[in-house]
Amino acid sequence: MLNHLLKYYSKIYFYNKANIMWNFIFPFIYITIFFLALSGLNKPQPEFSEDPIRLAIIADEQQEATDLAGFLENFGQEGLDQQESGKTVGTKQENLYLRFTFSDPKTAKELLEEQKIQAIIRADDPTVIEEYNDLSNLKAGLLSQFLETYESVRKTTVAISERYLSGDYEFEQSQADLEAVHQEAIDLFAADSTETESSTSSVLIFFFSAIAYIAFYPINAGVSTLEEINANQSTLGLRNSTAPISKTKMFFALFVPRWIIHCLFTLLIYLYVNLLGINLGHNYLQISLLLILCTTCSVLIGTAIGALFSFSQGLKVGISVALPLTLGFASGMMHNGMPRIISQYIPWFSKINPIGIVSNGLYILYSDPTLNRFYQQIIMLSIITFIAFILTIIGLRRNSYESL
Amino acid sequence: MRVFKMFLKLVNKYKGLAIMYIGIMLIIYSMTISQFAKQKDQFELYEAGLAVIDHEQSDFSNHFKQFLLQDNYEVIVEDDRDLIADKFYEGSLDYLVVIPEDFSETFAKDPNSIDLKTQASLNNQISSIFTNKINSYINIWNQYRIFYNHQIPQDKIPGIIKEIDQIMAPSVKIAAQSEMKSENYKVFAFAITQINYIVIVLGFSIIGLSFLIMEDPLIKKRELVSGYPEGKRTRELFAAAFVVIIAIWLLLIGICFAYTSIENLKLKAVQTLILSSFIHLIAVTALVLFVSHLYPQKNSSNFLGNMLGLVTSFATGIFITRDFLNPTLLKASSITPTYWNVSNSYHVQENMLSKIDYNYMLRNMSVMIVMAITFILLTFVLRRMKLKEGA
Repeated sequence: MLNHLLKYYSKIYFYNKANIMWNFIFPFIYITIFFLALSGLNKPQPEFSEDPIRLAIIADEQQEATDLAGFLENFGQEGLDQQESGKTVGTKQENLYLRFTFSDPKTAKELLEEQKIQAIIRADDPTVIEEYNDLSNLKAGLLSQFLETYESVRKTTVAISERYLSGDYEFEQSQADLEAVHQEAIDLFAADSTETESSTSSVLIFFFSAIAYIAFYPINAGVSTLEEINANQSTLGLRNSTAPISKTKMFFALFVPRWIIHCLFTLLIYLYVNLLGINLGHNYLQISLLLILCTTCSVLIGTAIGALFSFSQGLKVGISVALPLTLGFASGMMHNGMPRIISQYIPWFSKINPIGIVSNGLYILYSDPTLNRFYQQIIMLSIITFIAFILTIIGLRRNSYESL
Repeated sequence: MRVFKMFLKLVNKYKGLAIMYIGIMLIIYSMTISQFAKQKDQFELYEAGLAVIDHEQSDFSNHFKQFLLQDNYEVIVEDDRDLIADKFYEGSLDYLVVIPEDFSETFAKDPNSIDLKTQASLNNQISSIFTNKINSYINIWNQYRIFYNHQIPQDKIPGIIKEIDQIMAPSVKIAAQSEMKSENYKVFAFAITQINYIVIVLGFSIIGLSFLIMEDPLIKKRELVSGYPEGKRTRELFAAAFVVIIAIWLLLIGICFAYTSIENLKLKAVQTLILSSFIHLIAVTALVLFVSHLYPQKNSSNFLGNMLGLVTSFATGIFITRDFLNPTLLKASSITPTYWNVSNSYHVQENMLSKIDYNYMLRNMSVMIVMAITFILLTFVLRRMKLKEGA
């Protein structure tokens, strides 16, 4: 009998068009859009080569402008377009963050109006961003960083010159010698500056939570399972409750096909993510285990909600959509700084957030050579899953109806 | 006004769902804005969780620590590999610097050989910010080291520390700030962008659902049979839908001002952004009504809102900056009203007040108005077709 029910409810589940649409097609669309949206995060540098920050340098004193330009050549080239910049040598193409030109204030304003440049920089003491136009937050941040570094170099030179002029030194050397030695730059991270796999990591942080969200998405499968069992929740539930089958058997007959289908589907999504070229690491078995456990947890949380609360169907559907969304948000799916804020202010929440646990588990598998922390995540998720299962059983058993 | 009141009663009946969604969205919204608003100035990149383990405890190393902690928050952690890894994995730590015992000594001999141990989270943006910060700091000290022939006298260190504090203090001026004092309006522009996502989700989950219930054939026929004219019913339904969504929007705008400043309202840029957001609201509500007629599935409205909200937000640059967005995807997203509204917000964020092109913003608003009119007209066409089918 159970076998028959399992086959029957598997077919029924697939015949439901809304299920196919929201539980199966949406995750694929979402992951695809997510992948397309984030594809630019992989290699932001070439984007700057194609569209660098364009500046005009103006100055009252030519020396100030030359000094600033000399510094900016570490990050870009003189000349607003390719042909013009041919005269500058020594700047590697991969370090091209900006292009600049010398100008007078009037011409610079015209260039800004014509959108040939994005900012006018006055080389002065201190350096001033006179005007800017169409300068994105990212570019503005970078430009500010470059100019602040230049300012600190300049202020250091002034401070040391003042010490030199005041005779605050203990050995004799010419200013020319000093200047030559001062050109030596220290780079404590020179050995680490080669490209590593972590250059794609910004994307991965988003992807960990997005995949965890998709694995946790089928809560509604659990909620609807209980709707079809409890006589007071739907007409189907009423009919099923009159059948000569125990509630527990009916629960497993409905739950098992959905659970298996969604676990397989989660693995399919994982395969799809790999096909898209997102490398989540080589611990395929552990990743699969984590995702399957997440889906199990999700479906059982759904059954627990269905069993414990007699809300309207609309509200239950609302909860099954809103819960993954909220947990996904807290795990950094929309803003990657969010998990840190949550763990700072509501640490208990980040410990019991299933999407956060899975997202963290994927992060650990990617970067931690040992599996100890991964097993901690598995244990935590298993505990939540077990609690959800127990609550479902309690909710199922306690129902009795005076009349239907 | 019977249908109008009934719609409001229906929203009230589903107030559990409405309150839950509005509550969740308000939490998401508030947390997002507060995180962004923390970045006091426009030209600041990130506030990170930083742990500095100082094994030397000298004036030099202490100053280095304080310098690194500027604009970041300190995470206290012992020098234990597992404890550090735990902090990284629980997400509270972004960057770790371990200052060795012989920091000053090695610096005096050869700064390049300082054994400074660092560890970063997967976020390579944070890693590169700290790499630059550390290199800049060490390079400045190195200038003094060279000046004092590789051995800075102990009595000079306090004076140098004062000088370095001045050297490292931000000094680049932004001319716009002298006119405006703050660039707080950009925080407002960011905050108002986040409303787009919420409006889509709540539009489908509350307005779409209530509308579909009102359009249930049984309810509709009952009202029409009782002599209520179809035209009046439609007008009242639409009016009620817009009233509810506008009330939610006003609440969101209020929060937006609470996190920024009411002073922003005096700025033309902010006024234009509010107008743009309002037009977007109308266009999205029109889209919700259109989709509700096209795909009248009550149980699907939540899923639809969720899907469209997430997809639109990722594709139009609400959640991820447009600097990184795939250009084809961004272009494709221009079929949604949200793209045009987000463009306006980006325009304000990327420009000085004096450089804001209001014609550009008006053009974007016109596109949204055309979209809204199109959706409303299409909705009327669908209603008319369904009415004829029913007759």
